[in-house]
Amino acid sequence: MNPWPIVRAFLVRHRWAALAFVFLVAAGVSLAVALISQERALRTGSARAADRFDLIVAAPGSQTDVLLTAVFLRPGTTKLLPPEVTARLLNDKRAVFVAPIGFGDSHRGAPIVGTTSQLVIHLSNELQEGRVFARREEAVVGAASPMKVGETFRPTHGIPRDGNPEEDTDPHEHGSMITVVGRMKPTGSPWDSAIMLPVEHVWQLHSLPDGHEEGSEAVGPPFDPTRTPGVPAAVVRPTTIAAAYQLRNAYTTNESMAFFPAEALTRLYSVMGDLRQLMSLLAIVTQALVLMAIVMGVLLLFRFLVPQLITLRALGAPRLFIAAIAWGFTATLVLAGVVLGLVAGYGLSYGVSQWLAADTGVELTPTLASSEYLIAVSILATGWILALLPAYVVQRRSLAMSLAES
Amino acid sequence: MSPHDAEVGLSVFQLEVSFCDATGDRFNALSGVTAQFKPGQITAIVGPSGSGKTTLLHCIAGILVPRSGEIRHGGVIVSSLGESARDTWRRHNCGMVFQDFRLIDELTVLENVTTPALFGHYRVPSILRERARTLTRDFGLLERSVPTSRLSRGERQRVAIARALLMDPAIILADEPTASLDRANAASVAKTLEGLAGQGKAVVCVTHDDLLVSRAHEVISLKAGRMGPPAVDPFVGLRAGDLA
Repeated sequence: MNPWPIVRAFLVRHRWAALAFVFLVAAGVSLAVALISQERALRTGSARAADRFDLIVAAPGSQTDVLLTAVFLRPGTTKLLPPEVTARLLNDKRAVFVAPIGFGDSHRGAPIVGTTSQLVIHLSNELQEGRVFARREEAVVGAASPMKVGETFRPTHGIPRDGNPEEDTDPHEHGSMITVVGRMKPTGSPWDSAIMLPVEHVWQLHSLPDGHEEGSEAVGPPFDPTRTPGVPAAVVRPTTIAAAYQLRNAYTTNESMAFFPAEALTRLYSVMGDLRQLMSLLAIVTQALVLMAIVMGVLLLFRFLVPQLITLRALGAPRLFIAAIAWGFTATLVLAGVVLGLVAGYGLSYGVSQWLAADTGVELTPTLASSEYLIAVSILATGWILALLPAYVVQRRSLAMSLAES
Repeated sequence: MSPHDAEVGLSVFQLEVSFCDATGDRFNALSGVTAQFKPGQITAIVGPSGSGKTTLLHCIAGILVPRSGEIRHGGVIVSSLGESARDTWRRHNCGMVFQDFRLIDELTVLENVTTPALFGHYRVPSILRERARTLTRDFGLLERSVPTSRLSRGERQRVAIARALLMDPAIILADEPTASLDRANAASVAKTLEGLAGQGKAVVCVTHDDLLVSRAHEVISLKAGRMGPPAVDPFVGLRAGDLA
């Protein structure tokens, strides 16, 4: 038997109602799919962005705040590490390098980060273009920066919040002219749009000791312990795994905290995961209600199709054929809705990723994975099972009574 | 041996059908109806509204099962078949034509005509497809690929008759086939049914149309579910002596 031509004809007859049903299913599926896909994109994107930050040492406080400030370059109000702790850390032999991070300035909305060339090379895994800074008036830009190598600029005091320099409390250019001498490779992190300067320049701009002898123009380590200011955070590259744990213990004190970014992210993921589970559950419940509504809608629609169905029975169609028409009609709507929902869900996730990437600088790559397909298949299976209801109701009508009624 | 075994065609014997009305009281829709529908003849079933004409037609088609009595066709006791077997029997032996055509308007002429083939096949067998083409051509339905919604009423009834003939049934059951047509189209349909009878099919029509009654070889008159005296020709159905 082949009920499809009849199903197709009925779909054409009730095309507007059918389209409405398809969009209802698609809306539910796309929300569920986008939610899961986006959560994964956020997780993988943030993990990738933080991947090269082995250990972070900062003043005691919220690890999440420090993570957002040091790794994701979000303006924050982190306290400074005491100068003596900073000095001790910068000269700790258990680290391959310790890179202080200094903030406070920007240029055309891009944050300026004062650090060492070691961190720039480490994050970029060699440069895409040019060289690292060797003088205090030189800078390296991130891969996504619109600035070109050789371009000069003067830093603006203050970090724009939400990229809007108008919101700075005291925006004004200061310091000497800086020349861009290199460009980093893409890191998929907010560092791609940042400008990296020698930390000494940032300290100097803010009238702090610059980590070297008075009058020295040196950049990078070794730093003079007597002339080292406090820093918001320092990125530590330990020599070994054991050294990493030793350093974490050594700098987890009343004066400082040390943590692996992965740990802080895992805690964030745990919260996000709980939220995702809750949202997924809500999405599934909503979807089940939508499917039930659609099944009821199909039952109502089939009241209009009774004359045709009864005619088919009178022409000799078995009950199974009638049931197959009703099931096929509903199942087609659910299938179309699920497929459209998958596509729309990916599109939605892609759109949100683009928006978030533009806002945060974290490269987010949405994908459709087994969990999204599982949700889609579950909704499809539920819909196809629920489609048995109109099939059952329609086929059990008495042929003689229906003929008499119609 | 039952008297209607003597005939290879279709016969009903002492049919009793009852229904419940809206108040739950049971009433007889058919009482003691006995008749033969011979191949090559048109039998018109006439009577006032509610006399049981359509009920009789549904019994013949195996749509309704009588409370008592028998429906036979070529040695098969249709009334004792299960529902599924009656569906199959109807598909292969009965061609149904309705007053309001009951086509699927979104399907083309050819798709409507071949609809009964889909009940038992995934694809319409080529022999049936060819037969559908022949039928549509014979009925002057040259635009086979247009949806039937674009056809005139007369053309649509011709599509419905072509659909009824797809499986080459021995019995044509028509319920008021000319009631919603103008005189010219009604005359055309009556002529078509006459032609089918001429091909050896047993044509049974429920009708109020004098034109169709006048072409019938036999007329069964029903009143309150009972057969009345013959309205047109000498009674050519079962005679009292045959029932002995």
